[in-house]
Order: sequence, then structure tokens, then C-alpha cells
Amino acid sequence: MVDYHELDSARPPLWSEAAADWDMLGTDLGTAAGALNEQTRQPLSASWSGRAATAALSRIKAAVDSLEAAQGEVSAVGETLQGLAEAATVAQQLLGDAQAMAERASLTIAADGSVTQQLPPPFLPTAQPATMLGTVLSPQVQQVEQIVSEAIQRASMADQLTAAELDRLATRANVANLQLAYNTDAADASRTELAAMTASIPVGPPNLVARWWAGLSGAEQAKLELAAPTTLATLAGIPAGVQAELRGSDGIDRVRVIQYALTNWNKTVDRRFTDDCTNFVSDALLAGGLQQKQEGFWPFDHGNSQVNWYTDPWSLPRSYSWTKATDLHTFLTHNNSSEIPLGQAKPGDIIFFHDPEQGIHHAAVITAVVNGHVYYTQHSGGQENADLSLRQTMYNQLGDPQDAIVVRPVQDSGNGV
Amino acid sequence: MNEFGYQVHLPVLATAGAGAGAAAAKVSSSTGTLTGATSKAIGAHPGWQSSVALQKCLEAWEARLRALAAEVKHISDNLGQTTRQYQHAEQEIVAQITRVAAQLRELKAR
Repeated sequence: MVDYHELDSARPPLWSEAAADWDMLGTDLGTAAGALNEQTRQPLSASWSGRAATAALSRIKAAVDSLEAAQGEVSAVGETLQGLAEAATVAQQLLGDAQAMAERASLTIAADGSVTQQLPPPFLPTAQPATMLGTVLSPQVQQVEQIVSEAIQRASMADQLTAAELDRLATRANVANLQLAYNTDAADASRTELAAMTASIPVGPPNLVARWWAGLSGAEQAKLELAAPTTLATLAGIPAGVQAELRGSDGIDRVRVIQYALTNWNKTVDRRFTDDCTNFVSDALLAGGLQQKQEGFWPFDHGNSQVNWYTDPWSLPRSYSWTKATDLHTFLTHNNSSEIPLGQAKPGDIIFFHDPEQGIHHAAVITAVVNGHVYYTQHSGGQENADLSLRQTMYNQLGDPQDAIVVRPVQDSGNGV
Repeated sequence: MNEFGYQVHLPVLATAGAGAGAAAAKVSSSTGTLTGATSKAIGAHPGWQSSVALQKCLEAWEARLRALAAEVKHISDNLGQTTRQYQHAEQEIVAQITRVAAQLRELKAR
């Protein structure tokens, strides 16, 4: 458990700097892996054969694989540390509220977090525990104590989440499988990063939350809105205007889209396909209120993705656009939604993945954005708040670079089903 | 080609070995820079569980990356040694052929 002094004296930028070093190390390992592959393995594969060559090339490949996996793993350490840095910053801001309030009320917060009242003589000879001063001061004292306690609790939760993840990553140093490193370990780290950030948001009484929120700068508020939209949208004390903005004004409740994804990413939902990324996204859009559309009669109309998007969750009838990524993209972009640059993505947008061979072949829901990093949640290899940049790195290393196409869903005024 | 046969292009082998050496040096130097900010963050937050866990991570990954750098360096060294052995074998063969040719010339001259 983090105590008052430890939170007060914490220096979150140091964790950010450490995170940046681990990220940099990851990049360097990727560079080394690429160099070993391109300058050693590939030329030798083309020009050297025989038993010695077979043995050597096998060993070189193992080293390349290990370096690539290590890149994913150390990047995961960086992600985890960045989450702690962000969370500690939020908790310290809350503690700053308590300190400012204490100063205004002539209260002192001791190193152990206890609150005392400073009154000049002759009323009291020395500082006295605030609780001895009767009921007149108790509301202020209680408020300060409550905020201090909340800040410590928030920081401790983030610390515990981060420590557990780092403990785990310390045992993963021998992973030499690229997909295991990224799909399991790095994905888990980015989920922890977001969980730590979310854990740092105070959940106390509405007045406490409202005061904390009002004390944040515009940039800090915007950052949290992108990182933890569902928490803020349902948290008493966050201004109604902010919550409405999080839900969006495009006729689709973006928070519900995100909530659906975050609640169901690791569950089998209405269809029992092992490969149902787009069905999952469609269900999330439906939860957000996107109206189904059907022109004609199934099965004659289901392939016309420019106009149809519908399903019956328990039986066969459904449009291609409900379950095929490229068809959902077609439907959305022909029905009032449009592509936006990746740099403008925000939670509640839909992300499609494209490569030259398969075209658009995968879809997911964007559930957070932190410091320009896009986090997505998906089915078909269930992932919650996975960092897009790590996915892109993995696919680059697999020799299958993927473009990300972001679509902002907007309600269409056409005929609903 | 049967199991005893082989093909090799020595300049490529030599360059590939040098490339592996550069990769090993990159891993080694990058690992060396890790302790700075990480140790500072750990030292500044003694009461945090994350500091304890980060120290474990640091030690585990430094050891792993040192081992990886050593492995790639070993590959580089082996490729260099293999190049030299091929060169030496080739020189030996050339010398033997030259010797045999000289002996044949000598026999013919008798």
C-alpha cells in the first residue's frame, strides 16, 4: 500500500523516462533483429548450403526470433510503466486538491496522512489532532481526510496492478515466440496500462469527483476523456456536458459501443463462430444504437452491403456486412459514416485492418487513445485495450504490414429494420 | 547435392559474419543504457511495489539480453571462423594440387 508520503514525494516523470528507455530498447532490439535477418540470415540462405549451413542458419533464425520476441516483451514493460506514470500523476493531482483545501482551512497533513489543526495561542498551545476540535471543523477535516484516503487508495491500486504485470514480465524473458510475445504479453501489458490509468480516477462522492475534475487542466481532462471514456461517462460528479460529449452527437451512443466491447471481448456472444471479429463489432454498434437496415428479402439481399446491415442473432438470416469486415466497411461508408485519419481516432470509432493480399480482413472497436496511441478491443483472438502500434510492429516483423483504416460511425437517417 | 556436398560464397559468409557482429554490438550497447532511468525511477520510489517488481524485471532482462548479445556474437565469431576454415581448406587443396602437378611435371621430365 502506498502511503501519503510516498504518493506526495512520487515523481511520475521518472517512470515516464524509464518507460521511454524500455521503448527505445525495444526499438533497438527490433533494429538488431532486422539487421541480423537482412545482413546475415538472408544472404547466407541464398548463397550457403550444406550441413554446416543448415546448422548455422537454424541458430541464426532462433536468434532473430528471440530478438523480435524480446522487442515485444520489453515494449510491454514500457507500456506498463507509462500506465503507472499516468496513474500516479492523476492520484497526485487529487492529493494536491486535498493539500490546497487543507491550506485554506489551516489544516496540516502530516507525513503519515493524518490531519491536524493549527490554531494560534492562546486557544491551543500546540497543534492538536483535528478530531479533537469538535464538530465545527469536522466537515473540512473529513473532506480532506477523505480526499487523501481516496488518492492513496487510487495510487495503491495502480501500483498493485503495475507491480503484478511487471512481476509477470520478469518471468517472460525467455519467450522466443513473436506472436506469444505480442498477442499475449504485450497485449496484457497494454490492458494493464489502461487499467492502471482507470484505477487512478477517484470514485468518491460526487462533490469530491467534481472538485477534482474542475481542478484538472483542459489538456488533462481531454487526456482522461480519451483514456477512460466509459468510467467518466458514468461517474457521478463529472459534468453532464462532458458525459454527453463522450456519448457523442452522431446518433450513436459511443460509450455504449465501447462498453459492449469492453464487457464482451472475452465472452462468446450471440454467434458461436470462432472467427467473428466483425459480428462482434456489429453487435457493439447495435448496442450503441446504430439502426439495422434491410432493403429486400433475405437471402436475396444479404450480399448488397451498400444498403444492408442486419441480423437475427439466433438464426441464420444476416447480411454479409454483419459478419464480414470488408462488407461492414462498405456499409458504413455508404451510409453516412466516413473514414477519418488515424491521428483523429477516438474511442467508439471502428478500426479496419487492410493488407495488399486480403484487402480489409479484420475489424475492432477503438476503446481508448493515450498519448496518440490507439487501443482497440476485439474478438477473434480476444483483446481488450490492445495497443495498435504493437500490433503493427508484430505484423511488420511477420512480413505482413497492415494498414489501419478508421471509420467514425454516424447514424443514418435511412430506413431502419 | 548429397549430404557431403556444399556450396559457399566466401565474401558473403565474411560479410554476414560481420553483420552479426554489428547486431550483437547493438544489443549489447542498448542493454547497457537501460539501467540509467530505470534505476533512478526505482530509487526515487522505495515504498512502491512497482519498484520492487521493476528491479526484478531489470535484472531478468539485463541477464537475458546479455545472453542474447553473447549468442549473436558467438554466431558472428563462428561465421568468421568458418570463413577462415573454408579459406584454409581451399588454400590447402590448391597447395596439394599444385604439389601433385609439380610431381607430375617432374615425372614427365624424367
